[in-house]
Order: sequence, then C-alpha cells, then structure tokens
Amino acid sequence: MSPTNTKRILIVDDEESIQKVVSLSLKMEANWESVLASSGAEGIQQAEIHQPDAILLDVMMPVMDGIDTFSALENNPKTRAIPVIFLTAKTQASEKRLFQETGVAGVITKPFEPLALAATISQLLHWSLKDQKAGGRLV
Amino acid sequence: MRVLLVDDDSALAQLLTSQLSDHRYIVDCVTDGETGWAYATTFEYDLVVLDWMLPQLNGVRLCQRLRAQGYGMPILLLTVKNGSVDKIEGLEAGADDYVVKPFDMGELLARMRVLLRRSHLENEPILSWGELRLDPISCEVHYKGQLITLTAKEYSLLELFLRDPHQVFSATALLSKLWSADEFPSEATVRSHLRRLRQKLHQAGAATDLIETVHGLGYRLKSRQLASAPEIARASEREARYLEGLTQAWHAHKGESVARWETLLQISKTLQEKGEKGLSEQQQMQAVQIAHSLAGTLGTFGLMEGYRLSLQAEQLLLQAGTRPGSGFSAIQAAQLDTVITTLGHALDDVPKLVCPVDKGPKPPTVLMVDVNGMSYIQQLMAMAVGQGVEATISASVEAAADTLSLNTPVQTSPELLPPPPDMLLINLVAGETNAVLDEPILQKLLHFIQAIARRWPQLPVMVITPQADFGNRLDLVRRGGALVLEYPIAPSDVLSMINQTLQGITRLSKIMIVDDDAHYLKQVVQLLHPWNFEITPLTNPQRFWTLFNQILPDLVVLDVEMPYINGFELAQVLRSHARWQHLPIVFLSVHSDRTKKEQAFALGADDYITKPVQGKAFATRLMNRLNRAANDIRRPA
Repeated sequence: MSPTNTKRILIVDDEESIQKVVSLSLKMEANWESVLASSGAEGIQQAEIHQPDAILLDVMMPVMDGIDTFSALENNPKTRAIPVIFLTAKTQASEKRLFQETGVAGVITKPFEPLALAATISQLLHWSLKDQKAGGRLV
Repeated sequence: MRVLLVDDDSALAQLLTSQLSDHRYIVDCVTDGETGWAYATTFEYDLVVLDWMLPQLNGVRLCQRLRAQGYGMPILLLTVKNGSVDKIEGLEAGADDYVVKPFDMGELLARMRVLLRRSHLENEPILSWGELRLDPISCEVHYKGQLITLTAKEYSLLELFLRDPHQVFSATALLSKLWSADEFPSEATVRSHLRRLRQKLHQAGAATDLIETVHGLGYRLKSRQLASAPEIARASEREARYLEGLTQAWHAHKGESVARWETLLQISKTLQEKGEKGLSEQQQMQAVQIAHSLAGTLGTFGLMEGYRLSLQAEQLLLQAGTRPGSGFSAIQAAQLDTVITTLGHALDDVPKLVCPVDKGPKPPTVLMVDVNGMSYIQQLMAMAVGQGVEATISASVEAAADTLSLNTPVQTSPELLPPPPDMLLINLVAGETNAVLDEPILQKLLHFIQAIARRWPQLPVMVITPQADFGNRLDLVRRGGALVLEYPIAPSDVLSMINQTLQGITRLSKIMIVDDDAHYLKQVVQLLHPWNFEITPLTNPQRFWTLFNQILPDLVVLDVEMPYINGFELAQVLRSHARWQHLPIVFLSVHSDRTKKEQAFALGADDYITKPVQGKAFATRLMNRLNRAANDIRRPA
C-alpha cells in the first residue's frame, strides 16, 4: 500500500484519454498517484505489483470486461482486499444496482464531476479526504 | 439540521432552543407528548430530543410509539432519572442515547452530533463546491480559505444547497425545510436571506450567482461549467489548470472520438441503404459498444450534448435489437441517422468542467408513434432533437408498447421498468396525399391511446389527426388524448405545442392539505409522493391563513370536521376574497352523506372526496382540478 499521506489508485480503462483525465482529476484534487492499465489482464497484473489503495475499473472493455476483471481480482489472494469501484457510462438505476450486487465498493457514473472525483471515491470507501491531505490515516 | 425538542419545562426548553439555534440547528419546540407525536409524524426531522416526563404522553411511551410506527430518525432522551434501570428502559423503548439532567451543553451537542453522524446525515467531514468549504462540525464556512461569517439561517441555507448540490429548491421547499413551524416567514423572507448570503459569498470572492435562480422553479448551486474564455479567466487556478490539461488531452485524443463517430455514421448510412438486412447481430452489438464508449468519453471531457446524443444512439441501437426477428425499419434508420449526424456537430464543442448527470436536469423526452413513416414526423423529430428534446419514433404500436413496457403487469416495481417519456405524440395521419388512415390501423392506434391513458393518466398524449371535427375530438378525449391537433399543421407549430406542454409539466403544483389528524395527513402525503406535487401539510386550521399566504398554493384540500375552524369555514374565507374566487378547493372527508356534499358544493367546492382514498384515483382528481384551473387561466376572457 502507499504511504498514508497520499493514495495510489489503479485506473483500468481501455481508453487512454479516460485514463489521462481520471489521473489528472485525482492529481489536481487530492494529489493522488495513479497507476494505469489498458485491459483487465493488465489491471490484475498491476494490482498485484503495485498494491493500490483502490481500483477504478471501466465496465465495458474488450476481451475481459470490468465484471470479469473484478471477479478475477476477488479470486486472487493478492488483490482481493483492494476495494474496486466501477466506472461506467451506463446510468440506468437497475444496471447500477446490478453492478453493486457484484460486491464492488461503489459505482461512479461517467461523466463524473472531475474535481470532486477523489472526494467521491473517499466517500464510497469511507476515507477522510481531509485527514489524508493533512497526512492523517484512514478512518 | 432540523431538530424536534419535546420538553414541558419552558425555561429549559427556551435555553435549549436558543443554544441549539446558536449551533445552526432549526428547532421546533413543543411541550407535550401528543403534540410531539403529531409534529414528528407530520414534519421531517433529523433528530428528536425528548424529555422523559411529559404531559399527556411521556417521553418513553412516545419513543415506543414512534419506533412501533417505523420511525427511523435518531431519538435522544433527556431526564433526571439516573438509575441504570431507567437508562435500560429508555434505550429499550427505542432511544438512541440518554442524557441525564443537569447536563453540560457541550456534552449534549457532542452526543447529538454523534447521533447525526451515525444516521449518515453528517457522513461527509467537509461539504465543498469549488472553492467553497463548509465544515458541519465547526460550523465554519470558508471561500478560498477565507472565513465567511454567516447567520444561523444563512448557514442552514448554504448547508442545504451543499448537501444536495444539484437539487433545485423552491422557496416553499426552503421554507418547510429551514423554518420552524412556529415562524411565519414569507417567500420574500427567503429571498432576503438568499440575497444576504449571496452578498457575503460575493464579498469573499465567489460569483454573485453561485446560488443561482432557476426561473419558475427555485434556487440551486450554479453548475460549475466553464463555457467561455472570460469564465475560464475567472475560474480558480486549480480549475483552470485542470481545464488546460483536459483541453490538451482532448486535442490529443479527439481523433479517436471522431473515428468512432465516423464508424457510427458509416453504419447508419449502410442501414439506410440496405434497410433491414444492413447489419448483422454482431455489427449491431459493435455499434452499441461504440456509442456507449463514445458517451463515456464525451461525458468525461464535458461535451455534454455529444454525451446525450451518443446515449440516445446507443438506446436506438439497443431498441432495434430487442424485437425478435426484426432489424431496423426505415424510420429507425432515419432516426439513427438524424441523431448521429447531429452528434457530428457536437464533437466540435470545447471541453468543459461538468457536474454529474445522475442528479442533473435530464432533457425532456417525447415518444412519437408514427406507423406510416411520414417524413413530416421525421422532420419534427429532427427539429425537436435540435432543441434539446430527446425525441424518438416508434414505427408500430407493438414497438411503442414494447418501449413503454406497456404489457408488463401494473404491479411490477417501477424501478424495474424504464421511466415513461414526458409526453407521447400519436400520428393519425396516413400520408401527405391521402391523409385518412385505414380503419383497422386507426382502431389499433385508438386502443393504444386508451391503454396509455389507463396506465399513465398523467402522461400528456398529443394526437395529430386529419379528422378533428367535434365527434372525432370527443372520441379522442374520451380515450385519453389531452391535445388534438388538426392536420395539416406545420411541424414548427407542433413543436411549439410540445414545448408548451413540456414546460407545463416541469413546474411542480403546490397543494396545501389541511387535516387535524396528523397521522392521516402523513399517510396522504406519502400516498401522493409518486405524483411529485409540492405538498404543504397543516394540522392546525388556526394557522391556515398565515401559511396559505406564504405558500400561495395552486389547490387546497380541506378536511371538513376540524377543531376551532372547520373546513367549510376555511372555504368560505377563501371564497370571500376576490383573489381566491377560482382557486380549486377539494374536500376530503369521512362524511359521505348527501347533505354535507351539497353544502360543500354550495360553498364553491370543486370536488368532494370521501375517505378512504386510493392514491392514483385521488391524484387524478387533484390533477383534473389543477388542469382545469390552468386551462381557465389560459382561456381568453
């Protein structure tokens, strides 16, 4: 895991432009670090290596979609403790509920409010953004 | 945060009210258990503070009664009883905490905060919006690090906006949420507090319209969109830097989105040329994925029009794939082409900071049913899309029924069904040359209108027909047509009628309901919840006139038998005033005898409904009265 005064987030999205915007948002808002992965398989590999504080996972990806990737992360002893948040453009309530039923820590819908993304993640994971910025710990 | 304090010790109650108000709580204070019950079950509170020893109904019994009714808000008991048996009794009655008198004010406040946090009402340590920060624990507000000193009411207003940053709050809603039942403010008071709050925020460097007025609806925090160069210049440095990064990333990757759009356009052209067999199932799913990903990308970069149109294209592609054995009809292909062509223009927009769409205002939706594929309707749809209306065409009655999930059982949970559109347009015109439809198709469409009206009586149905004489009009309105337009009529005129209707349904109707039975009143309010009225409940008819003049409702519902002033007398007072001669008045009473009804109508009642009421029927009757009143206003003198 990363030092307590910052966070490291793994962004798994097949689109480079989304990776850039998400990492830019997290940096600008909370000075969080990002690790990038362009596919589900790469995401699992990066999660094992970097042990991020959380994973932002795109749902619709080719080959291995977000739901399959999440399932693989859950079944991997090295990654199962890492909280996963789905990032999706789907907005229907029933789909959102379906995603939540998989056991993910949360669902964030695109478009998200860019300079409140870290706050949204913190809220979903019960982190205190204020404490982290001050070099505090998880609450 | 709104607190109900139930304590018969007037000195202590006064002190507590004053202390809690200093800490930004909105306090309603009552002095006996029965009144406490009435208040707790009528108004919404974040926390209830109860004294143990109360006249009429003691605190523990009140607590038990509230919990037995499923009351979920935190309850804190105040008492001089200090024994462990008493504490256990209090907690087992359903109280969440227990404070022994005499108590330290600081301790009481801390315990209240813990309860509020536990009930997830204070789960965000800091509420923020751009550079604005509000700390619910310290009650401090900062803008760009500068402390802003606010009065209790200004603080509460700001906190409310920050807790639900995309919600539009009407002045009435603000009154009911932030003013206690004992205060009698008017909408002018709300405006005056808002003006002072805006001034203070502006003095600290915020935009004057950080809390913006949404005309005809209310107030909300201004969406932090940066639409133009001057706005970018004024934005905070962080936002400007982010926007710069966003713009660079968009320039670097715009080509990918354009390439996806070109693929969609190609697919759309293929569909138009080759018709139904133009796409394989695999190609169709690929197109759905492209539209979906494009929506995600464009939304992330703040190209909201492109985002909306991509989602619409995705929806059209999905709908065409859901009917077994049917590919795209010529109409669907044309519709997809319109959406995708418009999407191409939206790609030239510049990136913006966006607010989340989950809570944001959604564009109005119109479903057009056109079984003959008239270019007239396609033109209308293109014009509607161009004006920000999410318009779609169904090419058959079956397709429309499918889109609306009309054939699913009525009792299916609404959450599992797609929401109905805001409006339905049915085209009963066969074609430009021979306008009259064949009888079997016409009958099918008429039955469809009837089925829609039965299922969604509140859904406005507009009909375009070449046969609009009295007999046909009567038949259509009997079946549920709300607005009948005679063909030929220019598409621009139809669009203007659509916009008018959509505007009408976006404004919430204000209804005031007066009934001395607080428990029943709460049930009625819950019953009407799905119809999205703005309801003001009132249990004490003596407060009627004051509250009425603050709310200025569109309709009043009155119980007949009430203490001090009965419903008939309230109706007489209203009718005695020149301004309220035509205000819809509906009586709601247990009395079903003819004499009472005759008396009500003689006083000028518009309707008389006997308890018990069924939600849908009751809401429909209220809507009928509201619609009639609105039509009376529109009708020229």
